Amino acid sequence: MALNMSRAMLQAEFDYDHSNADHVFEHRTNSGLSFNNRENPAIKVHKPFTVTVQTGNNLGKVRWLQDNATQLIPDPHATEHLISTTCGQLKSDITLWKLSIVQDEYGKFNSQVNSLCTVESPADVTDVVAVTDEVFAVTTSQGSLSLYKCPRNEDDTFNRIEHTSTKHLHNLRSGSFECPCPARAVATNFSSLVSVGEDGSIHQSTATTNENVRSLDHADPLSIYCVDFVSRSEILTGNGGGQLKRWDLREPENKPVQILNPNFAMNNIYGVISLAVHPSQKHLVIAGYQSGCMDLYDLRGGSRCDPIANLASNEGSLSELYFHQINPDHFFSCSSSGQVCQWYPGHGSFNMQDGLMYTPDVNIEFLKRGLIFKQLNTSLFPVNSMNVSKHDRLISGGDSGVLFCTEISAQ
Amino acid sequence: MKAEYKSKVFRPLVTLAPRSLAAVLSNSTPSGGELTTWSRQFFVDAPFVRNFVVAGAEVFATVQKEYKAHYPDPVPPKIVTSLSRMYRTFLLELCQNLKATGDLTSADLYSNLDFVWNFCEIMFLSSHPDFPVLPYLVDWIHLNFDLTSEILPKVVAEGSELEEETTLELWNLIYSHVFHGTTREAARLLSYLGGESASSTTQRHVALMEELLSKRPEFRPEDAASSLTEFEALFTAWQEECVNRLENGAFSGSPNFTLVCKILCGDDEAFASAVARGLITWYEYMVLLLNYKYPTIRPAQLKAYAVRTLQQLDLVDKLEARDAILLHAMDLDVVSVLREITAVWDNPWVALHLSDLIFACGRSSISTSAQKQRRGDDASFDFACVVPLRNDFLLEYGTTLMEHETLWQMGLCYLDALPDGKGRPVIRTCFQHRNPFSEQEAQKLVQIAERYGFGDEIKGICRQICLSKLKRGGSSQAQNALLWAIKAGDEALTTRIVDKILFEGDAQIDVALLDALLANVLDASLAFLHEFSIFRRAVSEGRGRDGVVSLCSMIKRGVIPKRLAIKILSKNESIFDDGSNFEGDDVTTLMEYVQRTLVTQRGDDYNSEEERQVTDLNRKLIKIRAYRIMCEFRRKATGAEEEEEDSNTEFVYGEADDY
Repeated sequence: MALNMSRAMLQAEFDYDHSNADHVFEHRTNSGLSFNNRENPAIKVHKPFTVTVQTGNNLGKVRWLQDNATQLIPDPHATEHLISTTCGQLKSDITLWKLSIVQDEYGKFNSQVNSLCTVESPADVTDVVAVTDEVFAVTTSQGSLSLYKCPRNEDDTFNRIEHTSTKHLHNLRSGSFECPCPARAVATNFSSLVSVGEDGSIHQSTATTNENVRSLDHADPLSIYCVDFVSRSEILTGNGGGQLKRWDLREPENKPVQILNPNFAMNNIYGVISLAVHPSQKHLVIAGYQSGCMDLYDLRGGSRCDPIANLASNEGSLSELYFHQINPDHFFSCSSSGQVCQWYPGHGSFNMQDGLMYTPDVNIEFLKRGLIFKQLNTSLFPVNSMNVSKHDRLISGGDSGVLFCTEISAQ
Repeated sequence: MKAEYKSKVFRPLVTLAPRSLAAVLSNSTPSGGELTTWSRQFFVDAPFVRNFVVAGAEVFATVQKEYKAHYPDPVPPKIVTSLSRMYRTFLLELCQNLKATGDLTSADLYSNLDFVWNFCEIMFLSSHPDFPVLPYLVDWIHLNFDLTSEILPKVVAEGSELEEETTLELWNLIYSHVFHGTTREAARLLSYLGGESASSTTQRHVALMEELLSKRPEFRPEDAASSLTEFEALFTAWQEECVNRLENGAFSGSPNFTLVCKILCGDDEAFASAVARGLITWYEYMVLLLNYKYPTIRPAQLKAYAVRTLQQLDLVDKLEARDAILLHAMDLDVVSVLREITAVWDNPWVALHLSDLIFACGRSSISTSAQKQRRGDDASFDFACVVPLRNDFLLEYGTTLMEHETLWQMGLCYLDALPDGKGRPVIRTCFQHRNPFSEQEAQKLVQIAERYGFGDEIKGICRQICLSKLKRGGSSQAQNALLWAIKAGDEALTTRIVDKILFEGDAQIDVALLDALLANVLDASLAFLHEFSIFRRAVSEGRGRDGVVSLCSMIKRGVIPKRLAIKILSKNESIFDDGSNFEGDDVTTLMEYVQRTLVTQRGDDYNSEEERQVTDLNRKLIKIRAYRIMCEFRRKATGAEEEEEDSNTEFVYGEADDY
């Protein structure tokens, strides 16, 4: 299976010999050329690839630049673009990368990741979301929401990133003193953007012009860490106290329509750091906590219902969670302990909450069969972000500065 | 391609490197401060240097894992060697990147380091003290001095008709292979001389020489079956055959073939003519000597032959820093090697990782005197010094990294590797210097602090965030600040913020926080807060009856602070909206309390707003009382038979307004 960059590299280099030094360099280059497709050229069968690129900076967020509104049949030879941002400093670099599968003269398919261009963001980027296959939105530690566009050339290629607009939304006020407050996450339903911040505010803007439509100032007394849409105009947020709150953006009042409290015994006072909404059963949500817990909730249970199941409790906060869009029995997680995992039904175990048995109206395969996982990548350092493309490629990036890209199978 | 790259890297080593080495050596004054500056500036500016540091840390972590897996046994040499090779890969990659940026001096410096590291790897890690060191040295020389990829393409391009110049180059290549001991390679190259166009004599010579070269026995240290005595016998027999061939005049008429054959026979004159041809460095000459005269010498005996070589080549006074390190390595004087390496390459990366590998290999734990006795040599084994040296390097490098803005997490794995948990206090100190610039960063720090059990640091970080929330956000961030105060486990601060929320704010505390309050910080002095938490939770969850019970219990026990009484009642008015929440003497208790509070309040400082609130409350309570009375009255009037229809006949609470 695909291993961590370092691991794969170490394995490759374990029997290192100077006579094949070039082979070793293939695995780690700054320009980003790397592959491990070593199949017999005579048999042109596509094999899953793994590419690792050392970017030389802590990676904050990685996102495929794709139109998430549509779904396609995965094409293993498709060319895709992705966005990475750096973190850990007061400003950030936003880089556009291209992943291409190139067939060489022997008929062998090689995967390449090349950086196309970089722009600098004046503040640390805290979240990125792709709005279309050309436009993406970023939130920053200075409380702003910005739109960027990658103009498509005539020959369908990209080579630059243009800054479109920036709105400062999140602020803290103490008397007459006002200062920017970090925005933490942004979500889109393709017509509007919702950004949330450590000030507990929720701001809705239009996805095309970045105009503020609705503001819920200090709606949550605690910091909001993550957000996602659960329907056209309803969003779910996770806060620093571990609560999930559902907000209806049509309601005039700044009050949540549903509050879900964490299983306090397991979470203590850890915040919800990541959310994943089931792509077809929008009422099912997995929340990832700073404690490393992963809970499955059914939003139909009304306020104060308990999670249906505690799927896992690991070390390290679960930085991001992501359901596979076509086969949602599979989902992915990355954590600050350095692991990127794929979870899928199998003979495994997890804790059902007390008094709750499997109910037929929750149509989740792994609740019936059990849940197991495989590690796609392990790193010494926290993995801050990951994303899965429509062509079944997973990218992840973290404090090691390695951009890891692998093909996944969710069958 | 591969060899071309190496030769390009290596060529400056032979020609340019000594100058740069000497320059660095004379200017170097290693000190912690400089290194820190170096790390700060250099790491940030060059992403490839950062990659180099990260890659090194990853291999380092693997070494520690292997060490733990094998403890108390040392890590087997095979594994340590492969790990050492990984480090060298990163060194070569660094060279390549330095070259790409145009910094040729540094590139030379680091390619020199690879050369030295490779030799140290042979002496300290891979070779066995009781087996010949030659096979490793052959590899070492071959890697660094092989020019095949430069010359061979020309030869191949010209086919069977070789030009005179190319023939000369081909012969030089064959000689170098023979000198280096890669005789099978040399035999393969000979076939280019013995093509169809060559004379029959040459063809015969080529065939004979090919046979001799391919037959040369090689000692394989990894092959347990090949015993040393067997190898010695084979080697003597092979050399006798070479001598016989030479004496029979098998190569007469061809000076090149004769010279090669003489070299194979171990002829000193032939060696001297090799030097005269200017084909050879002293490293190569030393290996040449070992290849054909002393193929079975052990690592500890190498120094004597090296000195002899230097004397023969008249280089004793012309030694470079690099050569001095090699000689120290031959002495197995690890301290001097590390000292010199630190002096030349003013980068803690190098000495640290090398000393760590030597430590993991475990030769530091071998009883050195026993070894000396067994082998009867006087080489000084000073491996015992590796442990404190390694610790010092770990400390230096770990703390340097910990000071870096983005690489600091890497420092942890180095400081963790210090024995007996000595790294913990250092990590704690470094932690105190780190200021989280965002909540996210603080969370990361807290998580790491939790891993190490640094309670005080967690408290400090959380307190800092808490105070900044209070300072920057005012009352809107009070609950957020409360959360961080609870995380900090700071009871005084928690109480203060709760006080602030209750007295200055809107007396609303989020349920998640209440849970945390209940579970974490409350002591006896906070009895009110405890009760209040239960009350607020009941209210926010819509359990009106429980809320009333809790409120009445607080009133009866007199735990509600006077100044807070009206606020609590008026902020939680929702429980007064449903008369069915009240039972028994609840209404009386509350009415009395409200009256009492109003009187006290008037006595203290009069506030019309509060009075209005109290009047409102009173009105609501009267309404509830009326409702209770009506319910009671109706129940008695309708009698027992209508009790079953209670739900239909009972007053709707709103109707009480009419009375």
